[in-house]
Amino acid sequence: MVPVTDLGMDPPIVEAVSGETTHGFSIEGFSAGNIDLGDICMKNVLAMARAYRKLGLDAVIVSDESIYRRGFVPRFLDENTFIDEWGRVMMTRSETKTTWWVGGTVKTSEDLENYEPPDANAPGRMEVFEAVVKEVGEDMVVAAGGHTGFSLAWRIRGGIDKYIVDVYTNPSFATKLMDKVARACLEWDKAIMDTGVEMLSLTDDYAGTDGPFFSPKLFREIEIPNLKRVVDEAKRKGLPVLKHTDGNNYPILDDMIEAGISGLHPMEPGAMDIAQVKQRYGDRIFLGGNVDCRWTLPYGSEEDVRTEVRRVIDAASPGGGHILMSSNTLHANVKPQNVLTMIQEARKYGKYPR
Amino acid sequence: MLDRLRDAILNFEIEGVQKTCKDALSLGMSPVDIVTKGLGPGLAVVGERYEKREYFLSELVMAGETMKKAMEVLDPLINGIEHPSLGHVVIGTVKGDLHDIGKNIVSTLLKAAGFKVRDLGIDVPAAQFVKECQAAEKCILGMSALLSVSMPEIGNVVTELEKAGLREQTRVIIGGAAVTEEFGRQAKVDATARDAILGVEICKGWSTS
Repeated sequence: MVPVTDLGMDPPIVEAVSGETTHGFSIEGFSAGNIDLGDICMKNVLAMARAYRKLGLDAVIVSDESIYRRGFVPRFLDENTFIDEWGRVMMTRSETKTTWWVGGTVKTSEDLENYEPPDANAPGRMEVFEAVVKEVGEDMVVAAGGHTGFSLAWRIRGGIDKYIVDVYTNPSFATKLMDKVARACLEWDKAIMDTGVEMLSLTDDYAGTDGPFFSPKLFREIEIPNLKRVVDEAKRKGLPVLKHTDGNNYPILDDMIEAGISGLHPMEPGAMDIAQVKQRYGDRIFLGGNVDCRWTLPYGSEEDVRTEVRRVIDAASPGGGHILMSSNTLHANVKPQNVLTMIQEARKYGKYPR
Repeated sequence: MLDRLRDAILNFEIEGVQKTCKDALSLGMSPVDIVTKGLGPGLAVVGERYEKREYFLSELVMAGETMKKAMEVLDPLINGIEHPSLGHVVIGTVKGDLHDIGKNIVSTLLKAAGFKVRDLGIDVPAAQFVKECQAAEKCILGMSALLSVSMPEIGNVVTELEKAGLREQTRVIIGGAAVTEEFGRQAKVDATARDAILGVEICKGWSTS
């Protein structure tokens, strides 16, 4: 049977499929002094893990973006915007209980000098992963989402456009920032991999719809050494590495595979062709994806979803080496009924041999 | 001089472009000509190389940032001059979304192509888009959405344009990582652009039709 999972599930989907309540947060709760962001995240991640289990999925992937150490109180800039532990400016939306990046805090050389990434080995830092392993680890594979630092670095900088200008006009600043963040991410990934998870997914995006953010030459200088370090560490610990990146990654795919990744997600529809990747690279990497979550899962009919699942299985599953997933995450705009249909169709159609 | 201006963009002379523009002005070139005949062709070459996949986002951003630096000198001079334009464009990132890299690149390219651009920035509510389109009387409305959760807002803006009686005279184009052609059809926009270069070409096509 083709295994099924997903890179993540937003709170509205967790609530719809499981009936459990998830928790949002805003400045009011912190002002009242009765919210611990680490505690909120623990509850939300465990609810998500139970939702995965209720859906009968084969694995749950817990992102390191979900975790805050217990007792962490963010500095709010306004009602819904705060600075997280990595120095990113994040916005939270109460209707969907989702949080996303909107800005950064490293603007000058002095900021960079004073910048301290969060300590991977702070007490209780990894307890969310340990708790998920304990909660659902006997029923499914528990995987973790980590980073090499590529996307964290430019988010901390305030945007990829600012980081790009640094690369061209202030390369020593760009290098120092990326090194600082990448070293911290390596420590995080090492600690994550020691919590009992069985796979590491690296989630830094490398590309947009048209192609990688940087030329292959620059990509090899900026990112490949960091990717290789994390992959080598994963291999030492016996864990496969699923590399997630949106967009068209064809120009840098050989480099990523040479660096040692075990699998690739999602081969974003419209940017890459999962059938083509299967044909060219299917003997070297496994594929994760790529049921469309920009249109089909949020707006498609039941038949649209079933057709899409069959398309993906026909393209990627023959001979094995495929995990059925959405093309990004089960985000807040996705129709919960379509998630159920996706899994149902995958179980019906995704049988081996094929 | 035109070659120097073009090369300032092609070589991403973010630190030198303002001097190059001032040199051109002191030679008697008009600011509009500096943009449309000097810098603009440089941007067009960058765009072509991007479309051919010889250039990547980093080169597009550097060209855009170099152009923005140039416009710091030229915008105050151009704003005071009556000059023919390809038309009015109102552009912004929809309410609830704060991402703007692609939108900024499009804005810069449109100005360089000869459009009058009113960039409303990020997190723009529907009412503000409508108000600006009303003020422009006839315009192209460009909306950007990177987050999937922001996409319904695009449909909302189109509905508000209809309610205000402006839909007929407003061409609506959308872009951003979250949008697809199917979504564009559902939201009843006039075009969905998969990247900044194509978006500008579509706008130029509308301008001459």
